[in-house]
Amino acid sequence: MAMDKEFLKAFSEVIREEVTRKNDVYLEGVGRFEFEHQKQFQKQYDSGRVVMMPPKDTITFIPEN
Amino acid sequence: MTIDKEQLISLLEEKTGSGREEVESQLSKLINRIQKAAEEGKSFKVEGFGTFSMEEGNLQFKPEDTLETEINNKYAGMKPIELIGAFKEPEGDKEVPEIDLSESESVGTGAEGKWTFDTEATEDAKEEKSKIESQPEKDEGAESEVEEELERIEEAPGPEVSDTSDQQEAEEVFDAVFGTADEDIDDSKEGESSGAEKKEEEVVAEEKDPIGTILIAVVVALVIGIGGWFIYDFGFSGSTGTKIAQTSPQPTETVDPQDGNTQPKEESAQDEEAVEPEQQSTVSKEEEDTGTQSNIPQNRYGLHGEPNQSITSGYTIVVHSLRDQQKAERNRQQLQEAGFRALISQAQVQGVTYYRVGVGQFQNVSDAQQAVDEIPERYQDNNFIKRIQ
Repeated sequence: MAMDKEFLKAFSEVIREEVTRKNDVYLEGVGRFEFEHQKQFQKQYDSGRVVMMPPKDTITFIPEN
Repeated sequence: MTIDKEQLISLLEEKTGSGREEVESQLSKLINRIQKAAEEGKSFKVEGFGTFSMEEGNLQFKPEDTLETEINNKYAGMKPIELIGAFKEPEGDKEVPEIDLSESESVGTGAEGKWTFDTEATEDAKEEKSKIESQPEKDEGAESEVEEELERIEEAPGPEVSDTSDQQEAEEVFDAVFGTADEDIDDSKEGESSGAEKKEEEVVAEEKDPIGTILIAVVVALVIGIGGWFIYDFGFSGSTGTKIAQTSPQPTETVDPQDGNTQPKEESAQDEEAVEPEQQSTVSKEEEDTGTQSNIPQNRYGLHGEPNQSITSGYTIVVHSLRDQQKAERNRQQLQEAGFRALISQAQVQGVTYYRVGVGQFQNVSDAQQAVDEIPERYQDNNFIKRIQ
């Protein structure tokens, strides 16, 4: 049975909105979606060159065991 | 806060306008499909959201680009910035030190100072692209961003790059002079109150011993310049190069590689100020140096005051990244009224314009990192340093 496209769209939006608000979203039987902020950091190449990597907000998924 | 199943259903009800039973049914179907695909080792894609797949026995989720961008919209379009001057040449077969993430995550105040200067940083870019170390981030796109940035840097290398060999040479001269020619330094202090006097001194010296005295005069000029640089380096003032530029243009590049942005007009203004103390010969050299060096750089770079429109390079601390220009302008005005140099820059991210409100104008990343402690507390853990373009 096909799932409703509108439902899938709404599902995506809800997860995105809640994660953006830094809320975790638990999907029973699947896992947990979390917000993660990566701070900017310095990165060095093996040639010695150093760059500052920009910060980043990401969504991470922790599977349910 | 965690959104559990009940809350999720409520949110979906609200979003879809459907009844609870319908939402529960749809959600169950979705979960079953994901679980079934996982059991069969297949991937399951939700359009506009991401893909679930089994990897090494674990269910993984990879968000789609659109979702990633939406979540990261605050920083979207940010590219790595080159820490010009922050370079350490690996020696021989020595192992390259690993990046200390804990240090870098704390924005590594002063970390830049641990590195030496080298122009080859820009020349070796192509080689470096293929030697990128394993990334602590999971971001696969980051490397391509790095490459883009490196290409950009290659095309337009910054003016701040210095020459290590010249610097070392200057340091050697400095050491030699400090070790053997203290009297020369004393003499120079008396004579350096103006460029004109110095020239006279050189002329007189030439009459006595043309080669030796010229060499001494040049060395003295270098010592003065390097001394000024050291004063700058220890934070007593913002910039040097004024005296050096007067007496010996060549060491200017050597001693202060990061001061490549000095405008000709300002140089002439500095020259004028530097000449003024000639009438006040009783003023000590240190007082003269701090007097001439502290005023101009404070206006040029810094956290407070009005933005210097002539600055086209350097760094700023971005504290807001907004799509609403008016809101960005309001934030800028608030910061400006609070005494901070506030400026707005624009960034195009996938066709969307972001207005980034930055505070301060800094010559290098290290200065910007130190200034983070001085910005309002609410921004101290929520900012990023960006190159002024």
